[in-house]
Amino acid sequence: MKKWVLVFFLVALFSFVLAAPNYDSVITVGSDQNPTTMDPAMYQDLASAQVMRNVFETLVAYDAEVKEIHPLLAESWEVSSDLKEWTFKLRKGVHFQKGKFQDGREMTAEDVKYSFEREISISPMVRIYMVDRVEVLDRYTVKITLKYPYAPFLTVLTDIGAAIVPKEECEGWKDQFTLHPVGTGPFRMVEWVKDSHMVFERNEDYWGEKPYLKQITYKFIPDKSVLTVALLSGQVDITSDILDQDIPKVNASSNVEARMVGGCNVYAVYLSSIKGPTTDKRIREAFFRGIDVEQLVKVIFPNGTAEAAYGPIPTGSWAYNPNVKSFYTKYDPEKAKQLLKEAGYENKPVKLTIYTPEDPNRRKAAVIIQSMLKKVGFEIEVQSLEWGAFTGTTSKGDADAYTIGWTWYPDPEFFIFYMFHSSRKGTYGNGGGYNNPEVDKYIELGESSVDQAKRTEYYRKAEELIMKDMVYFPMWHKLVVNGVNKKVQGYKPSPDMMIRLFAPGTNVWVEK
Amino acid sequence: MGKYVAKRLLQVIPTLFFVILTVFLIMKMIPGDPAMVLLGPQARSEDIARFRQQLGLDKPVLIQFVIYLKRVLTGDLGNSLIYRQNVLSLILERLPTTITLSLCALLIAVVIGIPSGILAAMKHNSFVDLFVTVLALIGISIPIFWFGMVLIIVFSLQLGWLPAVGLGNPTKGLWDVISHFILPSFALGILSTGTIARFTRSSMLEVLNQDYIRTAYAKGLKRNLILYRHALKNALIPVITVIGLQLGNLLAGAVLTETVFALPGLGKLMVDGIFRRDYMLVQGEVLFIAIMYIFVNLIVDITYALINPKIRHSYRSV
Repeated sequence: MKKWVLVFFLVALFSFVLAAPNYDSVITVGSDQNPTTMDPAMYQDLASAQVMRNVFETLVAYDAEVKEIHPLLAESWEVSSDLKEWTFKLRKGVHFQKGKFQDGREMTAEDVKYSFEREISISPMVRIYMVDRVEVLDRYTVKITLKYPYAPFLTVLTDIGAAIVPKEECEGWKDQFTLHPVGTGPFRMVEWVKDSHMVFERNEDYWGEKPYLKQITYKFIPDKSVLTVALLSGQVDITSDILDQDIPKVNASSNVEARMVGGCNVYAVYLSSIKGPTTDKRIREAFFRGIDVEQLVKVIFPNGTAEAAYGPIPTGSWAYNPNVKSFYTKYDPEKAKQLLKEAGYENKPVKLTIYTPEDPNRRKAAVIIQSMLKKVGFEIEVQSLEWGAFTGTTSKGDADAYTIGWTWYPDPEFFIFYMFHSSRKGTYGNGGGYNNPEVDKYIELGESSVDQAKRTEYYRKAEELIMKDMVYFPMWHKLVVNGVNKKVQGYKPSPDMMIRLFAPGTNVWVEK
Repeated sequence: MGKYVAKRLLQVIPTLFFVILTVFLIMKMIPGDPAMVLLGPQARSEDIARFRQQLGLDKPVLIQFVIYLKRVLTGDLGNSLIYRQNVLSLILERLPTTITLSLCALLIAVVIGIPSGILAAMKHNSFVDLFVTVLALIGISIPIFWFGMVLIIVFSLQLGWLPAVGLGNPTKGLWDVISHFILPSFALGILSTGTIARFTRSSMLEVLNQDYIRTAYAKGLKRNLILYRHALKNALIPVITVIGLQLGNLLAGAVLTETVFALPGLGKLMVDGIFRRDYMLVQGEVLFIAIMYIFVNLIVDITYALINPKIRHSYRSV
């Protein structure tokens, strides 16, 4: 008996030793997207933002689940009652990584001022466009004044475009800074072979908690099926995405798994309220009544990598409304036929063109919708366009209907305002030309408060009004699906599709 | 000979001008606003307007072309809009990968294609001939991306012999680098292998039916001597041209191969550039490839002229 206890104890001890976090962890990440730049002011794509997080840091940051904003380079902050003046107290003792033009000096308020002004003056996409001026109050205090009240300002500051960079390196390297990035982050870039791979090593002088990972390698593999093969064959430990059709392959393997989380995205059909038959609300309702969205999503994602959507606010956002179905116009083909009859389409079909980009899922969706609606009396033509032509046509408001895909921060402002506010007419986000003063009012209320509970209420109200207008037919929210080798510990997928190996509350390590 | 080369070189100038013009116009004709595609759907209209101005897209097309032409003539291909880096440096970064891949594929094609073509011709109408012909036809018809996927599934996923994707790491030794090129070279080489095998076969058959071969047989020369000394030499002349022309196929195929096997080469750079409307990059790269193509063809023609006196002399009389 005693012997058994001893054996059990030894086994327990042994497994504990195996499972203990270790500081020589090495990981390889496989991504289907290629970073193009390592300069925070210059980036235009998620892939670059993801790798830049290793080297650069922002004043505030989201945790891996993008639910809460945590202090990072700023320790605390205050905002004036009119939401225009934001004062940040910086963390002391934060040093830049050593570079060619400075030897790891301390980061101060001057650097915040420099970084923000640099972003505003040279970035092709100014992420902090609402900033009017930045003032240094003392070595560790900085005051940022906005052009107008802007509640989601902290969210914008989590964007890597608002990272703090050292002036000497930026000025010294000029446009070569992208090849010699230097920030305050936990990792340094040691190698970058464009289109192939990137290597980062732990910054041993990092101010914060020490990462378990000693080295991170990113491999860029554009084809998602090949990416999954690389995961299964052990060439990479984590992948950015698994295609729905490859899920069974991953599930059949004993050493890798698919980890999913609700995403910050929505895919929908935007119906025009300014041209074509959908200007008649009855036709729009018939559109809703004629499509079984659950069936649609099941056909396109049989392995469950997306969930049916009933509103524009995604499941990955903190403002997601669990009761969103209560104001949804449900599938009812008989009612659809009835409505078309009332609208004067008894003996002729409603002719409608749906524009879609070359995204295979959206193309499939358009074709399925075409056949579902044929049964109730629509005659739909599917126009598939190359991305540039598609965005050109839809942003001008020239499409009767188009399949829109939208991915952004978890803050509802970035879904509701950008797709439904009347000021966004003539952009890709609001290509349906939607204009509802009451919705505008709720969006503006949401922008002018920093209380998350209150803001949630406003945006949900706006969402309800939008869904009642039936101009926007939500199809699905794609889950974020990462392929993960079971050796990898402490990793959680992020709703915004970024692979975060080190973030507030996350410190990934790998079993030996 | 010198005259011939000079003449060929002079022909290059108008060709290049038309290449530049065509690519410039094609990039202009692709629908959609480059500034909008580059900045993505979430960009604000203010950002897009400012970006258009920075790129000079608000100027008339003709002016834009003249500006571009001036730059090209000074050897400046401009900066890529997505990588924010000089186009030429981006191309040179990736050139070794594409050249290695293409040469490996060509090597495979020559080593497999020529002997099997000769074999098929010598065993004309036999089972071997049929076998080679069918295989060559399959090689020509098979889609590269599909074949590449099959190779990955069989050799790296099922058997685990070779790596699936990416470049090797020189620090891990020579084998790591070579092994990463094996599958992509086969995927890319199969089309050329089929083409070369078929061409060698028909060229060889044609020669074998010539009068002088019959004469040689009648004179009682040994079969092997006839085949390798007389027939083969003449049969391979047109094959050389075909090998030269494979370069175009290889470059086109490299686009697909590099995408499937995630190799950072010119093809992948081009595809990314087109999809993201990085017209500076695409224009620069097409120009570069055109120059490469023209010069390879020139070298092939000169070699051909050296081997085949007929061609030289026809120029001399002009």
